[in-house]
Amino acid sequence: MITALLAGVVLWSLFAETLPPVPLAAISAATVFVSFLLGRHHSHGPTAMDSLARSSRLCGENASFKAAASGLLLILSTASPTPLPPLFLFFFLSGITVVMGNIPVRKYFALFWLPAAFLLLSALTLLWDFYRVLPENEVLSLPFFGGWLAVTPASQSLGGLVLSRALGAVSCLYFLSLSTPLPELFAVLRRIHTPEVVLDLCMLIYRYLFILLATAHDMRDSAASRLGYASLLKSLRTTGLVYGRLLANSFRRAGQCFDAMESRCYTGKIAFLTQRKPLTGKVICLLSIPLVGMTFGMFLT
Amino acid sequence: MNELLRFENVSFHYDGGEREALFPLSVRLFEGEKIAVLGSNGAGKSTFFLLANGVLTPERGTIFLKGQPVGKKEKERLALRKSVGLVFQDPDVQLLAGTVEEEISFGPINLGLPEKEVRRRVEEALNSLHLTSYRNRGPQYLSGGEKRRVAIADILAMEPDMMLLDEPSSNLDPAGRVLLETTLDTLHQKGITLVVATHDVDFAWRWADRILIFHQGELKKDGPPLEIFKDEPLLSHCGLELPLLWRVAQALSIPVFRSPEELSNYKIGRKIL
Repeated sequence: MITALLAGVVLWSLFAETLPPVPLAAISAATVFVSFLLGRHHSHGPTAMDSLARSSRLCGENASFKAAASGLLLILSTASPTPLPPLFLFFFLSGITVVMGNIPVRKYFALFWLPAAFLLLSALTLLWDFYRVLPENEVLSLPFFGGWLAVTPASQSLGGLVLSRALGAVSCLYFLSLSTPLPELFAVLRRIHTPEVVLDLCMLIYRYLFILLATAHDMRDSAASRLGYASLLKSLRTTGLVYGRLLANSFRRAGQCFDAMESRCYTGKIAFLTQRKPLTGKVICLLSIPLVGMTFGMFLT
Repeated sequence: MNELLRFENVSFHYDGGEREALFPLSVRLFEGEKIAVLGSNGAGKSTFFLLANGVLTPERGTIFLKGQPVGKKEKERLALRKSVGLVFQDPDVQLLAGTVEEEISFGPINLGLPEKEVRRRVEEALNSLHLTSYRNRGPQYLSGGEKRRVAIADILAMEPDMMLLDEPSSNLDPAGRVLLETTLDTLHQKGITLVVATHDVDFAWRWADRILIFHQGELKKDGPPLEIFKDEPLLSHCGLELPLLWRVAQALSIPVFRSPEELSNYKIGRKIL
């Protein structure tokens, strides 16, 4: 709800006086309404991304290529001198992720909610600035503790640019993480010679995160079934107990896991067989469009 | 029969002394055996397995693998782990990769095999345990029974001579248990010696051809199932029950059968008479 309102306010401050007031008010209100509807369903756990990535139709494509292309697009998007190319990139990549990857639109937007709140807040602070004396070319202004909070055309263009760059960048990351399961990304990182220790840690953290979350979930449920969260004070106490137990359990478990690894002849290096996923024409075509477009966008302006 | 593993006066106890320990234990395990290890919680079954697999080293006494003593050198312990595989009680402790296929490849890669051989073994393990359609799934999206099969496939891919399974039927639904027994038969047909720790005396009676009974860290009895279950005082001393078929046989004063099917055949035979 707050994010939806925020989106409306940012949109309004961004286009005040560049668009006539009536259509602008209509667009802003529509944005609030649509984002409210789309953002209402975030019943996904922290592991939603992983299961979406695995079910994506783009999951079968070559991970190295996807990673390289997303990385390049990310750089091009943040380096773009004008707001339009990253905005196009955002729509294009979101389209690919949703349509080609067959990911439900609702879930895609629900996942966008967390970064969206950060993006909109930072856009808001860029747009609205504090002035002792009201600037001459102000677009919107509010009196504030003896000074003025105001939006100027300069801050509008800066805010717009930063917002669109960030949207483009987030869509790059989402394209990659919603089409490539993490273990495949680790394999890519291994190929570009990331230190083994870092990768082994990543791998173990990735695997045990699921176990930790499942255990925490079960413990919370069992505490709730014994009325552990009946009042604020009890909730605090129960939360403390649950996390304390969780830490103790984790230590015990870590020992067992190490034994299990040792029993399979672990000698200090974690390695798996990785599946070969050939590079297909489809994904090359798909990703060359934004790559070429973004590069042109850099030089045209 | 060729001897695979021999424990000679092996003892072990944990620091702090609260957890289960193992007192001087001498036992010989042979190729092709189907052994059930019975005992209540804390009887020393898991410690026995961890020692047999080389994760723990004996405090006193010696373990012999195919007649050769296993010392404290890393290389000798690796040889022991290579030959004797251990399937842990909780599959979540064991599974660590992102997909089933990667998971099964962990052991063979640690053995330092060439990629082609690793691939062959992974395929074979996937086929043997009917996991081919799960190869790209993450372990976090598997059911309890499926996780158990992956945990067994993990060890099968290392092609051990002997497989130790720590309470493999815990947390399985009835269908999962039936499937597990079929899996055990498949493994045995491949020539793998099986040692299964369990609380389930019915399973032990039906399946095993040799039973070891542990109690408070000691091997109390070692023998064929018929001999073991005749010793009722020992069973009650160790907190174990008689198999259901034994109790049925006692109540009806009929001979003891290995399976319920045999029993129902017998009843039909009597009715006709």
